[in-house]
Amino acid sequence: MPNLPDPILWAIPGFILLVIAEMIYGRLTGKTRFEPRDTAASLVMGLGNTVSGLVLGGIVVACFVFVEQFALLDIGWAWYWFVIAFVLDDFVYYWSHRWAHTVRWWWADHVVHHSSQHYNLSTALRQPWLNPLTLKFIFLGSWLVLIGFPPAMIAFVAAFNLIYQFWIHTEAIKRLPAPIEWLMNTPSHHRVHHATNPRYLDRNYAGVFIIWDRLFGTFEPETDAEEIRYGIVRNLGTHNPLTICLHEWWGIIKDVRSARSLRDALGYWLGPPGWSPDGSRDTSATLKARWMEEQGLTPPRKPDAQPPVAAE
Amino acid sequence: MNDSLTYVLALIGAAFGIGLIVLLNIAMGWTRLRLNTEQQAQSFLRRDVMGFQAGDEQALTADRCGYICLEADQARVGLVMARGDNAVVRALRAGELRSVEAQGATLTLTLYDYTLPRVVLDLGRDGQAQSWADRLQTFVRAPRRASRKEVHHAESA
Repeated sequence: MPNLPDPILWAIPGFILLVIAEMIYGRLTGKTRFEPRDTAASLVMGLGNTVSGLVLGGIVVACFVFVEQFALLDIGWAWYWFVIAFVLDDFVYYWSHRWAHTVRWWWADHVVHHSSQHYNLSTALRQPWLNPLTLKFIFLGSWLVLIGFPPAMIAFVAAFNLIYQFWIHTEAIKRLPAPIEWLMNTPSHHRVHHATNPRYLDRNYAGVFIIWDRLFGTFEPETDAEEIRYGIVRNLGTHNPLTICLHEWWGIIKDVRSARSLRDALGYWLGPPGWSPDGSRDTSATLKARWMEEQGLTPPRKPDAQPPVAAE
Repeated sequence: MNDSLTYVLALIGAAFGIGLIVLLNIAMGWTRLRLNTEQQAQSFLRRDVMGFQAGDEQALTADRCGYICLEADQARVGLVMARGDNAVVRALRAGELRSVEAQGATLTLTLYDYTLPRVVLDLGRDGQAQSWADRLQTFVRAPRRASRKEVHHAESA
């Protein structure tokens, strides 16, 4: 087994220099915005994520080492396996990310990354502290290990995936040449993902390749006609890192405690963010449907609605 | 050097680095949001709360950092709080307020909201805060009725 470096550790100085460069560029051109308390909160969340990775990362490693015993193939260390692993990891990332937006238990963790009302390179570093406790890696990350990809190879390519995603958190870059916009996740596509305008909700989940969104029907292009509102539907009234980290977990605990049945408790825990038994709260789907109604557009057909069947 | 010491030094270095970036952000300047007109505050409400229509009952704070209004149909209270260069918005329905207090010109709202538990609005004039406090009583959640167990406990005490 080759001794693979941690690419993220090598990238950190570059992250810092680019944040500073974007800050200066934003000041000179007005194209990006930074606010000191927001920047501080994002960077502290990033630092906390690194520390929690050291403390809690062992849970993920232990899981992968266990699953490795049952690997179906013995995949070696040839260079092309790294390329295949990178693409497959990005595919797994797409679904992992999609469910992080549609299952409240996983949203409680991922909401941290979306909690800034700004969109700049420091936002990329605003990361959760309790990620391993969501156990998402069991359901998603383990597949590649089970196929036979060595865990170290997966960690290596996943790090490059995260490094790629750093630079797309910016308003400084408008659009890239069309072939790149078609294939890759870009600042424009990812701005859509961070937007809370109803038209953009729950769109563009891709990590590196935007083709997954095109394939699975979640792609939405950025329009110049509408100013983007960043953050979450109900923005936080604080920059306190602990509150940023815990607020949605606390919300789940409160809701589950108040649940009147097991079904309600499961809905609060595993339903989409905003779900409530009486429908009195807003989910992305209800917000989008209301917006479409206001715009005079036809709301999307419900997943359980069947197309009319022709009489035989 | 042992690993623990390396980690501690890295942590201190990272915290120092964060401090420097934030100082740079402060030194380069940024524009603090001020709510100069009711229309400006309402634009934040419209942006964040689909379909919210502010009614005529509204007030801006003396420092231009806060705004409160009743919805046109009186169903919700609209709040806009300047935070940094942006605003945090809430539309509260009946039962979403824990308490309302007026002291002099200051109106203090306590919310059932983990990330925005308290809102203090300096409305500039004494009577205005009390008048808002009276109007907002209908949005305060009624105290929970004591359970049978609690009643029994109180009676036996």
